[in-house]
Amino acid sequence: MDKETIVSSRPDREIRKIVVAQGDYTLVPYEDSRCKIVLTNVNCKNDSGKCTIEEESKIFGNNFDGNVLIGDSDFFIDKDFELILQQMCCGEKCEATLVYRNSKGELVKEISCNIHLQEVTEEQLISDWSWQRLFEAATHHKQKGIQLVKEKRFTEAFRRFNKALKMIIAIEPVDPAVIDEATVKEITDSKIKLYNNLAYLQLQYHEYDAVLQLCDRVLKLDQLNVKALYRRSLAYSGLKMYEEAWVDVQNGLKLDPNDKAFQQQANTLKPILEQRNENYTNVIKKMFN
Amino acid sequence: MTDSDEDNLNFDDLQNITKQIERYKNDPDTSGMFVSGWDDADQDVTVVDDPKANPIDYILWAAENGNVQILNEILSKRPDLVHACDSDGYTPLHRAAYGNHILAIASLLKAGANINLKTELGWTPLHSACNWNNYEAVARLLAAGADSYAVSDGEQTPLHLAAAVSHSKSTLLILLLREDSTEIANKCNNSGETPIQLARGHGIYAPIFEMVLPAVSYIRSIAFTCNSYMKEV
Repeated sequence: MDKETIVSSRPDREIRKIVVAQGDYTLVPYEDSRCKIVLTNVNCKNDSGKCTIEEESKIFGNNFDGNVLIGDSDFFIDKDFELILQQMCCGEKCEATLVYRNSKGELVKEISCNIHLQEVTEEQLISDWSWQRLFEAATHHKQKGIQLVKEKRFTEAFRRFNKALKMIIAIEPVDPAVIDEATVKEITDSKIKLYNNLAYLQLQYHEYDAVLQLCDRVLKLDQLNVKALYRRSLAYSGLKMYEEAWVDVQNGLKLDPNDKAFQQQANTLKPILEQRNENYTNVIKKMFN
Repeated sequence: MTDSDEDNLNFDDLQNITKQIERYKNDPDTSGMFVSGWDDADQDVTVVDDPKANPIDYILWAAENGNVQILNEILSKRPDLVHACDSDGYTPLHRAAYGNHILAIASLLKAGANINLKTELGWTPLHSACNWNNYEAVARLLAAGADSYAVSDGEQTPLHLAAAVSHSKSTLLILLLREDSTEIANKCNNSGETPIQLARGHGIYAPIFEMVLPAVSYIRSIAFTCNSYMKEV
C-alpha cells in the first residue's frame, strides 16, 4: 500500500495521497459527514524554502480541534483538504500532498501532512435527502454566502451560492402534491435570490456575459425583478450594448421612478446614446449630401 | 368506405398507444422501461452454468451477486483473483458495480482491486455503475478515487452514460454536485455529443444540468475560482 494516487488534478493544483494504513472500507465520508481527524507532520514549502499557510485556513490553523464537517469549509485549501477526506475511509492513515501554482505556472506552495481519519458519521447520500433537508441545506449555504460577501470574500461566496443553487435544483421538479404552494414560492424565491447573488459576484469581476445569462434566468421567473434589470443594464453597458441597457433602465424606472441607481445609470447612458445618434445622423447626412 | 373506416380506427388506436408511451416515458416510475439497448456493453455476457467449476467464474459470480461471504473466502485463499476478468475484460469490481453491491465493492477495494481498470470496450467500474443508475455504487467508487474523467472506446465519460439513460436522477445528482462536473458535462464523445446534449435527447432530467452552467459554476475559470493564487498577477 505504498503507491501514490492522485486525488484531484488540475493544471494549477494537484492533490495526491499515499495510504499508510488501511481503514474500514465500508464507512466513508459523504456530504454533511462529521469527521474527526488527527493531523501531523504538516510541512509547507516552495522553491525558496519553508513558507506559511494563510490564517484563513481553519484546518491548518492553530485553533483546529480536529473536526471537519464535509461540505462546510470556505477557504480553498480547506476545501481541497476535504477532497482528500472524501477519498479516505474510516480509520485510514495517509500521507497527503497539495501542490499549488499561480497563473504563471510557478510553484506557490507545496503542503504535505499525515492524516488519520479517526471517526466518520454515516450520512445518507444526497440523492436520498428529502426535499426538506435539501432546502434546509440550501438555505444554510446561502446564508454563509451572504456573510462571505459582506467580508468581500467573493470567490468563496460564489462557491457557497453555487452549492445552494445545486441543492435547490435537486429538489426539482417540484411536485405540488408533495410541497405546499407557499413553500414552492419560497423555493422559487430562493432560486431567484441565488441567481441574483451569483450575478452580483460575476459583475465584481466584469464577467458581463455570465451576468446576462444569470439575469435572464431571474427575469424568466420574475419579469419585474429590479435587481436583475439593474445588473443586466450594467452588463449590457459593459458589453457596449447601450440600446439594450437603456431598455432595462427605462423598465426599471417605470417600476420605481425615484430609484437612485436607475437614475444614475440613465444619466450615464444618455450622453452616450445622444452621441451615438448624432454620429449616426452625421453619417446619414454625408450619405445624402 | 369500409376500408377507410378501418384505417381511421387503426390510426386512432395508434395515436392512443403513442400517447400512452409518451405518458410512461415521462413518468419516472415507468420511464426505465424505455432504456435503449443498443449501447449495452453488459449485454451478451456469456451465461455460465456452474460458476463453481472455475475460480475466475466463481469470483465474478460472487461479486455480481453480492455474496460477500463467498467473495471473502475466495479472496483469502486466492488474493490474486481480485484481478480476474472475463473474456470481455470485466473484473469482479465491474460486476459488483453492475450489481450495486456496496459491501462487495468494499471487500474488493480492501483486497487491492484496481479502481480504474477498463474492459475491452474501455469501461471502468464507474461506467458500469453509472449506466445502471447504481448511485450507491457510484458514490462508493468515487470515494475510492474512481476517475470521473475516464473515457470508454466511444470517448464516453461515466456522465455521458448516466445522461443517456432515462432513469438516472440519483446518479446525476452524485456526479453533478462535484466541482469537476462542469468541465465533464461539456466534453464530447466520439459522436460529438456532450452529456448535456444527451440528457436533452434521452432523459427526462435535462433541467438538472442547469447545475453545471458555466455562469453558475465559476468566475472566469474553475482554477480562478478555486485557487486564490491564480488571482495574483
